[in-house]
Amino acid sequence: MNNEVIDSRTTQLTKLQRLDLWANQFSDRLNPILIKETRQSLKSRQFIFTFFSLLTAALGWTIVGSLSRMPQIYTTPSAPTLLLGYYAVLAVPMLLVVPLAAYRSLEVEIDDGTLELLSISSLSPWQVVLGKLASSLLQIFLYFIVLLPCMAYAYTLRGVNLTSILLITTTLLASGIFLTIVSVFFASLTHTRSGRTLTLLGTVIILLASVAGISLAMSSLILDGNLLSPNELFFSIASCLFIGPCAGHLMLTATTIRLTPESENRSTPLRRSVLALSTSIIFASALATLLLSARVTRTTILCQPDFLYGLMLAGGTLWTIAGSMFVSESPNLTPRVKRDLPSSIFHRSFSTWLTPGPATGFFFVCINAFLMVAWFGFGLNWLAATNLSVDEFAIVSKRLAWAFELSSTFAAYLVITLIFVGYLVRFIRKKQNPRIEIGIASLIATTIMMALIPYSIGLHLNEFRTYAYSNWQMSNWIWTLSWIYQGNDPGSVPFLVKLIAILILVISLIRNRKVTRPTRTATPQRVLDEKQKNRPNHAGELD
Amino acid sequence: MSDEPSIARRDQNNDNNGPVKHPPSPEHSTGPEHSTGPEHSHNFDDQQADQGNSIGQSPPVPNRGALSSQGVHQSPPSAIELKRLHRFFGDTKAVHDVSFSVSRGQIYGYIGPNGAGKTTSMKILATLDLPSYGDAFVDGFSVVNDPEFVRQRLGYMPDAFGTYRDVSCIEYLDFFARAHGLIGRERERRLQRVMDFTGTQGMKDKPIRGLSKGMKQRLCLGRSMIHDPAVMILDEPAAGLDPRARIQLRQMIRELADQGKTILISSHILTELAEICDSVGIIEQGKLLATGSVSEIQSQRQECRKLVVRVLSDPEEAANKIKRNLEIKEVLVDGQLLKFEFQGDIQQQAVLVRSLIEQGVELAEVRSHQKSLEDVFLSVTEGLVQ
Repeated sequence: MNNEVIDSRTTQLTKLQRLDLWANQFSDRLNPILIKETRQSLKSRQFIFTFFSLLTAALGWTIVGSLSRMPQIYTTPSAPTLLLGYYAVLAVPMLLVVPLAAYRSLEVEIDDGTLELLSISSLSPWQVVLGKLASSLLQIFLYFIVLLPCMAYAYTLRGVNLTSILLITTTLLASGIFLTIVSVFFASLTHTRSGRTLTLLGTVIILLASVAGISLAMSSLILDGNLLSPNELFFSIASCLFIGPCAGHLMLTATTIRLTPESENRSTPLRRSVLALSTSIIFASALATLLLSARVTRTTILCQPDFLYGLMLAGGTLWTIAGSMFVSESPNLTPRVKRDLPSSIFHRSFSTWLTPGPATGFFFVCINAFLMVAWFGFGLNWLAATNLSVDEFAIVSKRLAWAFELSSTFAAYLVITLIFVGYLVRFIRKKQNPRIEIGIASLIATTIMMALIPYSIGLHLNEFRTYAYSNWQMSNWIWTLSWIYQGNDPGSVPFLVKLIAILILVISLIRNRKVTRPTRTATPQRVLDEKQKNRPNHAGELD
Repeated sequence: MSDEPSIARRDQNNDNNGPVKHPPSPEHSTGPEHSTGPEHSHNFDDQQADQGNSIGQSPPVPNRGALSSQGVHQSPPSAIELKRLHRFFGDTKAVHDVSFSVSRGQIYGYIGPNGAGKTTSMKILATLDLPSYGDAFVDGFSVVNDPEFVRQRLGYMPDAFGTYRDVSCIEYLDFFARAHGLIGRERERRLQRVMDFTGTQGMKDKPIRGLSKGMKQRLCLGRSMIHDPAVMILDEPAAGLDPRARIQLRQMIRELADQGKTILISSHILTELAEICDSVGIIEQGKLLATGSVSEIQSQRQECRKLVVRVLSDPEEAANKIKRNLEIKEVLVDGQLLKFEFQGDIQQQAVLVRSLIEQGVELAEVRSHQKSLEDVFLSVTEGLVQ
């Protein structure tokens, strides 16, 4: 339908009808899940109850809070008291109600069988998940808008600066979105009744713990003001801006993977997402080295060593869990996956490690663990040497050397453990065809055995008395790492562990050289034709 | 740990699957120079090496010429085709070597007792589950390799309603129309057509939770046909409906078939299936026991035809003539009625009648009792449950 026809038709319509027509056309460009969820949630009792409770609580606190501050409200700053109440009113729906509603929304889709119906529609799993997230976001904004005049009122009462209010609202919004992502992720984890009880429990615990932690920080910010130095504030915001979205993306990817058919390539998106999160951790460590003080002084709240250890731990945990799942993937690729494997030499050189399969998964983890260790060992040292003062560098370099020793030993243990996990899962696959989460269970079993067996033998040989660390505890990764962490000398154990890890890596590379061979298969012409036919061409369809 | 030569099979997220053997697959991997090249077929020997091990690659069948290397028909002969479909849940063989095809515009009835594997096969066809071995095709596209093309052509109505709370009928249909990528006027047209067809126009603003079961079924049928699919899979659509609603549903299904849609329908109400289906398949314990048109199955299973003859002349004499003519040992005489079992088709029955008349037997009435679909179902199945 051309523009003239539209014009002649629309001129006969009233303004309201034209608005309706425009809204209808606009809605065609929106995610259908967002439209459905919004229609549903705005009619739901839960939303109506929460919305009116929020209104009542905000109004009630404005009156009660103001009256309780009388008559000093005219002379002394009273904003912190009122803002604390508004924060409490807003935090409950934003950090608890909305995430739980998102969890319940996906759970009900699974229960009622509508998720199955969605999965055979044209909607992609990403559209389903993002639609749910967008709907939650809409609710969060609605709640936020309700409280906005109250916050403005609190600001006029003095005592809290604009930066603090901005920080509080941004933190609330970001936390609400992140916790919604976490809830949706947990909702997708299992489809069984008993499993869902556990995931609901886990979600509630995480939400409550997060609310407690965030509330503590926010109340401190409201009552005491911003205690961070400009550098620390910049580091906090920049780190959150990088790590938060990457962690959220990883969880969203994991959620969509749970909704993706098994014949699809579900590994590559996950690997990309893990890689992005790992990169954001590296970025945060660089910022910590550059911006945070090396010494812990009375005026320093955030200190560089603490953050470096925390980031190292996060990186180690990420690659350990992800690695255990990557090496547990099925070695057999579906024809559908094989159609999209890298084919050119250039593409294979860079993308082979992203293709599904346990061998590529193992090397992907090893390469990234190596890069991360190299960064903590050399990259940060170089960064510190070129940017810090001589005194600060002296302190930082010592800590970095120690961090390098710890992280490299951990990486070596990870390589050895993943080899065991891989073989264990291969053995299980002869009898069963398990989910990749079996990798985590195998990892736990392997690491416990690696630590427990030498420790038990040592106890037995020493007649169950405490004994000192020795080379015999080489496989006991817990003792070895804690020994290094405490600053003790573990002798030749780290060297031997790293040597074994490198040997294993080299042997695996030689044995698995065929993974780099091209295995791409041709896509049938009829499929290519159909894809060509399905290319989006909406021109003129919005008549 | 190594990446072994690849054979498609059920992958990581596979609950309760039994062990799956995977012998070496034929090399059909191609280098970059072949990556966009023409399709190449498996040869049959290679397929035998793959026997019973993979999803996405059909198990060996003699006629492989029609399938490409990726299990896509070059020229689809049937709207629905199941090729040696297997689905295992641990030790339970939910679907075991099921093969059949449904031509375009046909209604295929899928019959079997509870737990026979009907819903599992239908879920595989609807791309909601993957086969352990074998493959299924909709309009020539594999449910394993090209599910997105299968979904475009398929409307699935599960045995559960799958409705949302807090939405009206029009909102429900509108949502699924949007979910199938329908926009603008096209969506409005489809909504109108579906509501007219299913008779839900009058209740479009009513909330779904207030609907009767029959109306919900109509709505779900409307939902499954909102994107105008060529193939429809209806899992127990008549379950729990009153007789009137059942008749209306049957009419709607017949109308859909008249519009050229291919329909795979499962139901427990066998008399209804016999009336509307062009062909049926009987499944029990995951195995397809019989398939073909209703009359074919009836005649296959009809070892002998029961005949009842009313004579006006002496019944004893007529009985003796029948015995002599057809070497029938036993003819039951009940007044003027003669009852006996006759082995032969309808042509031979005509010959018998003519010969009796020629011999002077005065025939007033000849009745033959043919087995109903229910009789056939009961004789084929044993009522076994896995």
